[in-house]
Amino acid sequence: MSIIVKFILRNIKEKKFRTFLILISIMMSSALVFASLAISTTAEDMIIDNYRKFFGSADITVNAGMNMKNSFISPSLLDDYDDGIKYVAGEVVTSGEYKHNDETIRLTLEGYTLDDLEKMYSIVPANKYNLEPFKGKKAIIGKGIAEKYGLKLGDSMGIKMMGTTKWFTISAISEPKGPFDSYGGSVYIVVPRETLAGFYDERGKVQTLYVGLENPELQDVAIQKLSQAYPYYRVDATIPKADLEKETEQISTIFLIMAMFVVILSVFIIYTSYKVIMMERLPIIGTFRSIGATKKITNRVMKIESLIYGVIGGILGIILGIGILYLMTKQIMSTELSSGGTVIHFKFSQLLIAFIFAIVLAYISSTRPIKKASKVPLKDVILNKLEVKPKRKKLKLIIGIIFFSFGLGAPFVAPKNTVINVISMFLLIPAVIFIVPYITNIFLKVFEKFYGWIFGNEGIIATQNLRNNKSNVNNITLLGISIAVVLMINILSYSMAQDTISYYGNYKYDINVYTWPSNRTAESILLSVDGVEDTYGTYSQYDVDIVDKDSKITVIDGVDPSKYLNYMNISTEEENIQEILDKLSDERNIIITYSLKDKLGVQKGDYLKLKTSRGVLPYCVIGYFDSERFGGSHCLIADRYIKSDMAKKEYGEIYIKTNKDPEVVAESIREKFKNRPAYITTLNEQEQQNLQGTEKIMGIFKGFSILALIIGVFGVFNNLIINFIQRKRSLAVLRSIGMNKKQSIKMIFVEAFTGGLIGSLVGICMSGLLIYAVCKVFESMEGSMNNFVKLSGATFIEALLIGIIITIIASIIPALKSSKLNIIESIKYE
Amino acid sequence: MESIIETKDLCKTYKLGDLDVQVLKDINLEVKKGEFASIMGPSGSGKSTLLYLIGGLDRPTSGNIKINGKDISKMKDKQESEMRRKDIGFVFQFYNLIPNLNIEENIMLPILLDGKRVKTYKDNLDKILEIVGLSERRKHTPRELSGGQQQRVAIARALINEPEIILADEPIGNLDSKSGTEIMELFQKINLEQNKTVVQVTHSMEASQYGTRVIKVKDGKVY
Repeated sequence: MSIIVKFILRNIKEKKFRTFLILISIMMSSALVFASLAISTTAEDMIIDNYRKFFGSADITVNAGMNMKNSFISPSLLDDYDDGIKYVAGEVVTSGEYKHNDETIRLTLEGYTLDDLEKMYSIVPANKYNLEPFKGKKAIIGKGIAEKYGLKLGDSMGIKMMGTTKWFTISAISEPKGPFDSYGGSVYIVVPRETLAGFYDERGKVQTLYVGLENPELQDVAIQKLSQAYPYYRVDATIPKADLEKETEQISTIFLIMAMFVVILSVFIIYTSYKVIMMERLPIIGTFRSIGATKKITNRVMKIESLIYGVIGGILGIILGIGILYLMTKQIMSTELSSGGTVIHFKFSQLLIAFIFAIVLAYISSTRPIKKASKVPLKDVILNKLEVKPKRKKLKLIIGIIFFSFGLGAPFVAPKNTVINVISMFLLIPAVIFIVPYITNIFLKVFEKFYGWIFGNEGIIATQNLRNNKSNVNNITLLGISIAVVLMINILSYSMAQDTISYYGNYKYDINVYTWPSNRTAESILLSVDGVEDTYGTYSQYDVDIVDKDSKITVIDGVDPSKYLNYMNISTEEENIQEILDKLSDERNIIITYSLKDKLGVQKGDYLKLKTSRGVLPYCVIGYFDSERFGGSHCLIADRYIKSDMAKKEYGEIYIKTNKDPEVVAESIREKFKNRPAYITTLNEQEQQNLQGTEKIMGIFKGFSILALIIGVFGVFNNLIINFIQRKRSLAVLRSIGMNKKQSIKMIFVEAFTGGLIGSLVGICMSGLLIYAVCKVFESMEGSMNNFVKLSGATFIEALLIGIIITIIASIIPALKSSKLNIIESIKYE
Repeated sequence: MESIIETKDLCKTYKLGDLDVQVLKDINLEVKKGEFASIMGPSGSGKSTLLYLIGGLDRPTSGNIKINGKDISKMKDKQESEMRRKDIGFVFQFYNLIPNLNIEENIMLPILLDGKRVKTYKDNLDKILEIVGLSERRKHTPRELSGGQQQRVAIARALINEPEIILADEPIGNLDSKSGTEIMELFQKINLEQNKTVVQVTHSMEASQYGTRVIKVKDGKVY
């Protein structure tokens, strides 16, 4: 047995480049699968860690309900309720400013008792000065702020809050933990709860009760029970774990789909490499068989070799995957989330899945070539007489056409079925693989007509050589898939960036304000700010069920018809959209997007039965508009109906038009709203933030596509070398009948150019198909990418040149080798 | 008769690890125009090496080879390739056809390599296909032909550029006796009717009888 193991290991060591190629394919595939799986865990844990900074170990929050007059509640509210509760902690919160030299530091002041601080965050300050009793104007600050501003125990801090400056004595300096951990632009300090409540004249009360559960797993049940027990209060989860899990799983799914493109390339490379391995090993297999080894044994030897590739590739893949996960995390997570540095989280099960995936990938990809070789009759194996049986070419073409038809047609038959749409997308790849030999021959026939004029007779010979040449077809396929994936991702990311820009082009406001409470009073305050010309409060309702259509509208905006067009451009084919908007207030009318119109199959005059807080109410469709917002699932109704039917009392957002520089006006608004929660962003800032967000995600996708290209390029190099080895004899024949070295080099470069050209053209066409398929997948997920994808001619030309350059560079070694070819050795070998 | 192939003090030494193996020793040979010579000798005697050196497929260690009076041992790659294209036609034991080209394309390769237009040689092609008896199979690929037929294609390829010399390395070594006879008759016909000089390497006494002269090689020397 040890001889067999030695034999296998020697085989692996012998062909270094091929081993490298197989290993890198397995490694990258398993790395991407691991990183794609683990990114959800990392994202989830990072978000939870971030939540924990603010909520500690609390699972539930209890606040005053919307209909209560006061936002303060009793800290002993839950004293009589002991169903699964571990602890209850009360909090009062406000904001303030601390001036250090010329710098103004924004502070969030959290009022806690020391006992609650310990319960929620396990914080027991060790570095303290006269901390107890924790009453009056004392403050606990974090080590970070203390070091940054040179604050020491016993120092006084003047904090401007509620219009006046109040002085607090620093009574403890905490380790960077919980609220004292650095976070974005605001610094958190803890003061006695009663002191803060006193500033609001609400002594003995709190704003929020934090509830820690005996069993955090029962969060949902506890929320339900508490909501029932305290119907006038708002009971929420501190961390909506189920939603979070769902969201992070979605991130994983998207990355896994991207990783699958790399996996397909890897399968193709391993499969083709194994075909060559089997061809080369046939004489050795023959020897094994002639001395008594059964087919089963020889197959097992080859399979063990593939498993070794899988194990090594899997281990290396996990190491690489951890690195990729780190980079993905760094790229994808916002600065706020990763303020403590990029930390990755993964489960052992994810490591195991990636490892098993690597082994299965290697095993499955090599199975068919091994099986095929085992079917060669023993006599032929021993004599190394490999009869080239005529391939079932037509069958492959038929399968290719069937896959192609399914890939293109299935999305029309089952437009809402995401699984079928994803399968259709991936079927397009084998479809192209099966059809490529025919496309190649068609191209070659065309090229042959004019290659004589361009490249001379060497050009004609080159096209003849490429006909029905397997390595060439493999090359074209590899290049085609790689270029298609790169192009698809680049075009989608470019389109998304363009879409973000054009998306904000539809907004006509200058500043967007989100504050709480968001009502007419807030609007009046805003109007009093210098530079604010006009304001417009929007109402939005999310996820509204259409009862009779078994569908949902993602967002319904309640609009003021007289103002809406001043703040928003509407793209529509309707002749007079203002007239239609005016009709919204007449009765329960609705304007829907064109994509919803197609999706729901409704016409003007039809009614949509919407589930509202007042029951199911019919809304009459009176017009259409184009909107890619919310994946096209977007409607407009009159603000009076959203208020009455959907119980909307607060604005969602307030849009502002300015008559001064929006940045300056935004700063004035921030100053005015510094004592209340408010998010103020200019349109430009929103656009930049969105663009950055898009670029971050697409950056990872681009990384995936580059990995696909790297594997593809290695594959092309390998194929060209294999091609050279297999064609040594033909090249020697050509030399023997008078081809000189220069002609030989020229011919090989023309072949490379042609392969690169066809591969790139295939890639370009395939990218179009994949983009089409991605659009259909999006549509099946209730999204819309209509009018979204922007094709760029320059990108196609770049892809064409990249494909040609790659193959030409890859053919330098074969070209040089061909010129140094020993004609006699190559010819005489049989 | 004028000589078309001449070798003078031709030596060929191969490196086998640290060992120098002298395959050909001071070969002085002359082949006249229109001759049909058969080089014979035991395995490893150097007969094939001699043929390859004459055909410019390999370089001698020392000595000279003249083809049509031109010393090929001093030629550069371009001239040597041109000589292989124009003056010599090669036929190998294993036919050495390009598998993915059809018969016509295989035959026309030397024309293409010579930078000529294939169309202008169409008549020539028809004539040669007629000679080798493969007119009906011109669009077939080599793997669709028998060994004998493949060798005929190789002969046709060797003839297409109308060279004066045909060099054949064991041309019937891979064929059954019937096909072998047909091939040898074809060589004889070419030799006699077209006055081509044919030099073949063979083990077969029978094959050598189709020629006009036998050159015996043993231990790297001509006897």
